[in-house]
Amino acid sequence: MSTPPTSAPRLARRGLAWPRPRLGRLRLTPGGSIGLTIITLIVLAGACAPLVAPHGPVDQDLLRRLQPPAWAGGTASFPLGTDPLGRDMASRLLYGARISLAIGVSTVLIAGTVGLVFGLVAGYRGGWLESLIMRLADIQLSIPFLIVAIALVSVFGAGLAKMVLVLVLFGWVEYCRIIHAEVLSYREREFVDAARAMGCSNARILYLHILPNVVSSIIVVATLQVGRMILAEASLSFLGLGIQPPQPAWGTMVADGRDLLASAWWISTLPGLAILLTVLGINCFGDWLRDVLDPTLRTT
Amino acid sequence: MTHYVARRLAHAILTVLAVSLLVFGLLQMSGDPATAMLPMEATAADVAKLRADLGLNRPIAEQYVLFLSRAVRGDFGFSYRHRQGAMSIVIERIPATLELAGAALAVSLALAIPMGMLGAWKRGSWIDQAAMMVAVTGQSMPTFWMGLMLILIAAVTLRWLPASGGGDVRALILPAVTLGANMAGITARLLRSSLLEVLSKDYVRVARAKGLVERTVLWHHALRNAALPVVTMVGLQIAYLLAGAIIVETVFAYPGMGLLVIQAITAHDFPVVQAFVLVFTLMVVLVNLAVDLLYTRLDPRIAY
Amino acid sequence: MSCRVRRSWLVVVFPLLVVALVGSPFSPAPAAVPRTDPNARLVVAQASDVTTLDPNADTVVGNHNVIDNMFDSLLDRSRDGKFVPSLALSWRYLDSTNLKFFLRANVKFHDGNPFTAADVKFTLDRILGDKQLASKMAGNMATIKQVVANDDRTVTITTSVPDPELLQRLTEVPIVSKAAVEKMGLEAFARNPVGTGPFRFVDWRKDQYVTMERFDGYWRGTTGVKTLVWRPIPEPSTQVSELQTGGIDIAYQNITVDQIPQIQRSGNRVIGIPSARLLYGVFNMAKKPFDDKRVRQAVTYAIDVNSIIRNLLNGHAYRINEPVDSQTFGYDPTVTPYPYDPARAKQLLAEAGYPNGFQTGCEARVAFKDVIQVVAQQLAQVGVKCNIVVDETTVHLRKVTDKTMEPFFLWTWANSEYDADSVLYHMMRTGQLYSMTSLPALDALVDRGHVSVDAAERLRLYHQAMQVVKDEAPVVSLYQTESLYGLRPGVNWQPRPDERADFMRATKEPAK
Repeated sequence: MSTPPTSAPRLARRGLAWPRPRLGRLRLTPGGSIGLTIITLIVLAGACAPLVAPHGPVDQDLLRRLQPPAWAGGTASFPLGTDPLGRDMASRLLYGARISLAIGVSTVLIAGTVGLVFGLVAGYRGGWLESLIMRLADIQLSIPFLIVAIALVSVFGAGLAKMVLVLVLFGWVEYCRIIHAEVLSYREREFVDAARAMGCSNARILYLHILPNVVSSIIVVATLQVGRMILAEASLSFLGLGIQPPQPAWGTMVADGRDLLASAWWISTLPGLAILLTVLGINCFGDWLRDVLDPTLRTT
Repeated sequence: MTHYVARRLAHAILTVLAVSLLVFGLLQMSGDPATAMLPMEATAADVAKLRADLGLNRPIAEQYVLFLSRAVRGDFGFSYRHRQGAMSIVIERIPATLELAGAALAVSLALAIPMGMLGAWKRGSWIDQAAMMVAVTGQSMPTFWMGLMLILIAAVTLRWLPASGGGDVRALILPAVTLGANMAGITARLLRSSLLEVLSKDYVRVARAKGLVERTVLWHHALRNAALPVVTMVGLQIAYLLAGAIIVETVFAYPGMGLLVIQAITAHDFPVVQAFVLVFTLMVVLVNLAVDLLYTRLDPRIAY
Repeated sequence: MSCRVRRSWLVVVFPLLVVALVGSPFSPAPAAVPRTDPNARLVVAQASDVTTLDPNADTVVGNHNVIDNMFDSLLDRSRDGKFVPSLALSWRYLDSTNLKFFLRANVKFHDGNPFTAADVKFTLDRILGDKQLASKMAGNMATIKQVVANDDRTVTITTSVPDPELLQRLTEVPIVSKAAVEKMGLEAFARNPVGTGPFRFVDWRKDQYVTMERFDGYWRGTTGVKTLVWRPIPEPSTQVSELQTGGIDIAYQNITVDQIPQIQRSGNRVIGIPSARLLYGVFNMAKKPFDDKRVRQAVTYAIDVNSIIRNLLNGHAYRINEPVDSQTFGYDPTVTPYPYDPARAKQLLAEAGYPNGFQTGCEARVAFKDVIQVVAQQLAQVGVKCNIVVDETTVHLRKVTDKTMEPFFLWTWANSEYDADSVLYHMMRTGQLYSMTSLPALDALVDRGHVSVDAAERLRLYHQAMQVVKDEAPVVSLYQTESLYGLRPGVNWQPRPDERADFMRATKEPAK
């Protein structure tokens, strides 16, 4: 989860106002359209799961265990086959989309909020608080996310809430750095003093001058981070430290099929493919978003 | 220059200390390690005896100081599971993980450099688009799944390579490819954009104006300068590589540091976990330092 | 040739031909093609690597599978459960706390030193008292007060209280060479073990293999194969693929029921024997609502064990009616199991005040994550909603010893001593480290059985205890698991019912 440092403190580009939406200038590249399509499909799949899924996601049928997908010798009633407990793979994949998206989006929202607050505090207050927060951010880059995640979970137990906590613990840093850098560059400028002299409160400065410049970076970072969170959650669930059974988290489903690769390949292959497609879609879309909104964020 | 190095070292030590405190604190909260280490028929007396032996009855602050003083001397305690010193067993496993990381880095560069150069050279064409699509796909792939798929294809179906274990070069291939492919995606894209940026610079236009073939321009002039951010990226990715090795080693049962620490954490083998985290942090910190120094060699404009 | 010569040739040849044809049934059969290769190399894979080769260090099964092939203990258990002599020729109780062993003569260690009573005393002393070794076997030997080597061939063990399990425990203590340990020191001996067993140690490469070779001076005879190699392969699917390619000859227990068809399809064999490991559903009686007998009985009625065995495990498990299996001392053949009766379960729940069921945490360790999900589904049918938690083994064990375990969980107990005391006392007596049960009636019976040396009395007590357990339902006795072994064609080996890894008589046919 370590990320490259953002580029040197950015200077204000757009001046003092919120950017006007430039919808007329938006052109979808092939990458962007692929990404958007995939994301839409996945969101739809998750949203419509109760309507579209042929079975319940946790309905077992021990008499129909380990059935292959319909095209490989199975039946049409279980189009993508069944898992070791006779549960329908297609239904589980659809419901799993909900879980992945929910975790991805919620952790990003929470991490983003936390990171923004910390970054603001660090930038505005300065002093020892700033050093502490930024030092904490630096140190977190050296700690392997997975180790701490595993250690935390094996100490406090697995589960949704704890996993979200761990993911947030590692996600806030990016936002903090962005806004901290922005606040720093602003602290130096004269018009801030002028604005204050005129009676503008800090909150107003924040709203009018600081946030507009970071909002596009934040959007891009957040979008890309959703993909990384989904990958991280899948890794933890794969190791058995994330979502607990019988919930159909994609990572857990891949782990279920690990011993059966040679005889029931679909159990591990299909959920992994789902993860790949989802994250691919998010990355493509996020890249396009970055090209449109904020090219100076490019490091790749 | 030495001032900079000293400052970075101090920063590194601070990081390592903070991490050690974190790990120590975490493990203290995990309940009673003594009962976890004893066999099924142990009595309460056995548990008490082991607690005393492990020093678990002393106040926390005293335990931490004790831990630090021993750590400085390289003594991380005795791993009951492995029946040897914790630090020694971590050190035993370092070469295997370094081999894996090195092989993965090689795979990653071998994949990324051609892809990135191709993308920059044929910018905008379908080759570029295809290469970048491959790159972003590699970046989006869950490592554990890719490992399993490689096992399925190469080991189970085709029977070319062993599905797990360590010891010889053949066992290294699949894990290295898994780990390297993921990193290759990011590196390829970075190299491409970095090359593009450099190619638009003035000195490149001069080189072209002089009549040099595009390939020469690319290789001799652009690449060296484009390498700079890539080197930084690679350096930072080492931390990612070492962390990713944990998952890959688990999937392939590759006997390196990563597998060791996973087993140690789930078995509550605290000495090994502490030794590992400290070694790992040290490695990452040193690599970052090395990258920064390398940076100064590559770009004479930067001086500390 | 001229006619005359040809005819004389026939005269000579013809009788010989007749004799050859007629005489052949009476001539000795030609030498049989050897069915086993005495110089064979047998590769066995198990899930984990050894963590030490010192046999007295701990009771970890993964270690002993490997180590026990290089050592002997004083006595052994035959395949039908009787104690048989090993390093000890005979033994006699002098009184209820003194046990005397008469040792076998002319036994040599792998390094040539003779085996004497001093080695027995040294072994037991180091288990009990060596601080550096910190043996985890010490708990098992805790009743031993003193060991005296009366002479080279006699040893007397004195216990502090009468201990009916002592003989069984001693079958699990490999005897080490005092001279070797003292010469090499603890750490070196843990890497270069010296014992009296059928194989002697050759090499240990961590996480790769442990190699051992036939010991030519072994007192019991000669081994079937020349070289025995143990390889640690954690992943079941990898073990199966190595079995298929011939990388290993035997997959030792680390295969799953679902892999059996695949293994058999490729020409290999699977042997399944009832394991010593029994699976239970345990109630934490300290937590509501499982302090109420009716709720416990309701849950027992709601679980369809036969369906689990038949459909989930493809028949590879054995139903048990009570907490011990039929081979164990204390088993009561008159106890019948609870039938699967969800209607009765709902009725009992209503009587207990839960007409709409209730929610509870349900836990299992990773190996049983499928079973707990099936059980949860079955319990949901009667209104008991399970919040499933799956834990790593160590966390699972810790939760039980810390008493932080969920109110209902799946628990295995390895009943390798074949005595009901093990389960009833250590797993179900109030206050024991691994017990979540609290039944005073059971405690009274089990306490007396724990210290008595009168077999008839103990049997009576345990039969009563089984009835108490049936009525009170503190645990749901689910099934006896099956140990699975995968073998390549041409490998001849039979696993032991007590799951001790004994490869002395394993043989392998020569490669075709």
